[in-house]
Amino acid sequence: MRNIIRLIQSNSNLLLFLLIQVICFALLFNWRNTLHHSRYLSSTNQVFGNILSINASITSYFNLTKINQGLSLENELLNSKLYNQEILVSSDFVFLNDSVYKNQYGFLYSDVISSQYKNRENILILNKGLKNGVRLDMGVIGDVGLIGVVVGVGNYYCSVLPIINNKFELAVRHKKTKSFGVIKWLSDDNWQTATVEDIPSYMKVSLGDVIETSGATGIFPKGILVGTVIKVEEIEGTQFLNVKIAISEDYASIYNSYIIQNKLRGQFKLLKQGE
Amino acid sequence: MIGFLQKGLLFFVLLVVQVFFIDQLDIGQANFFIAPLIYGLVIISLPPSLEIWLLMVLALIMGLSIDLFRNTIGLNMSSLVMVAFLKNPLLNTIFSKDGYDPLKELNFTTIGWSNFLFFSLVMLFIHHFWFYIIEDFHFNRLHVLLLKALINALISVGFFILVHLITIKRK
Repeated sequence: MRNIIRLIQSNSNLLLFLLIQVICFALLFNWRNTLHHSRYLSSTNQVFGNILSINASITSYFNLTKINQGLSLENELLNSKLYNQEILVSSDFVFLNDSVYKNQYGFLYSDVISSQYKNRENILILNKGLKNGVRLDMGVIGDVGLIGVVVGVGNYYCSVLPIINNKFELAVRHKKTKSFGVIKWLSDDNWQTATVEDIPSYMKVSLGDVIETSGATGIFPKGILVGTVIKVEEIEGTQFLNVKIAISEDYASIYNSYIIQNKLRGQFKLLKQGE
Repeated sequence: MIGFLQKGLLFFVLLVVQVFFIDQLDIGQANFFIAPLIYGLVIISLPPSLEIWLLMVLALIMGLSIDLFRNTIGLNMSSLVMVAFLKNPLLNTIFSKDGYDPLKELNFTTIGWSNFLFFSLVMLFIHHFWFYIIEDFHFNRLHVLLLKALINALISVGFFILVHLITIKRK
């Protein structure tokens, strides 16, 4: 007994060090393995959210030109879609407010108040939360394309898992051939690229092709831009391609975002449970 | 007591610089490779006479406060505690017993420029390497991580020199 006490006394620093490391690792892996870690301390907290939003309100002035450019480009795109649609609609007898049609997706504008892109586990913070109707598992898109999925919600802030995070996985499709794949962020990707797996090797994927969302998870509508193909490789011994894409959204300068609410997601979840 | 308050203030300034300046810095293609961690300066420069357990607890608190901003609970904590634990043993192996004054804090003037440069480079290399290993958590890119740790340690040492030149007392 005395020997044990003496052992502990002589190695107390080492034991404390090991104890602290075990605590750190437990916290870290608990944090990593539960994607929906909103119950822990995080930037979705009131205090840290406030500090980050003060910082964002100061720095946003420096980027006004860039933001304006992005917004006006998006407006241009939307205008072209809107006016083209009018010509089409007027030739057929389709009523826009017919009760047969239902608005499936709602959009909510929000500012990106904190963005990371240098780490392996990057998280974005937006300034909309529970009080604005944001819930877990909602999709987030930017001016150009897909940003990520909401994984944590506070009262006034929410945290978003972007494509550039080890944990990110989403069903996407190749626009030309409509073949499904899964987008992941592997260890050899940097903050501008990502990898699409599971596209069969008989599909003709060429450089510059568009990868878009498939709508299979019920988080995003179909056809939102994710990125363009920059490299295609066949994996030896398998029937699948390894496609590298350039992410269309630039995480180093990201200020505007839209949170997407799928109004029929409840039904979707019920069906998924029945599987 | 005043020394500790000064260190606390220095840590606060370093935290602000780390979270709101260095993490947001946009340097084009090199963005992914260059991400220095500078807040280790406080732990490295505290006097060696301080008990290791106290140093580790301080490192734990500092790491936690960085982690809260960066949304990675445990990552910065673990790497900073590693630095605190290895500081005194490394100091004793690199320098002889009378090579430094244990009551004075460690910086460029108390133990000499070349000595502190070397010591802080070793400490920062350990800090960065441990950080990147836990962050990636697999070992097939070990050479990249080593190179990344070395480059970022060099950048951080440059930052230490800058801090020293700013805070130095002019006679």
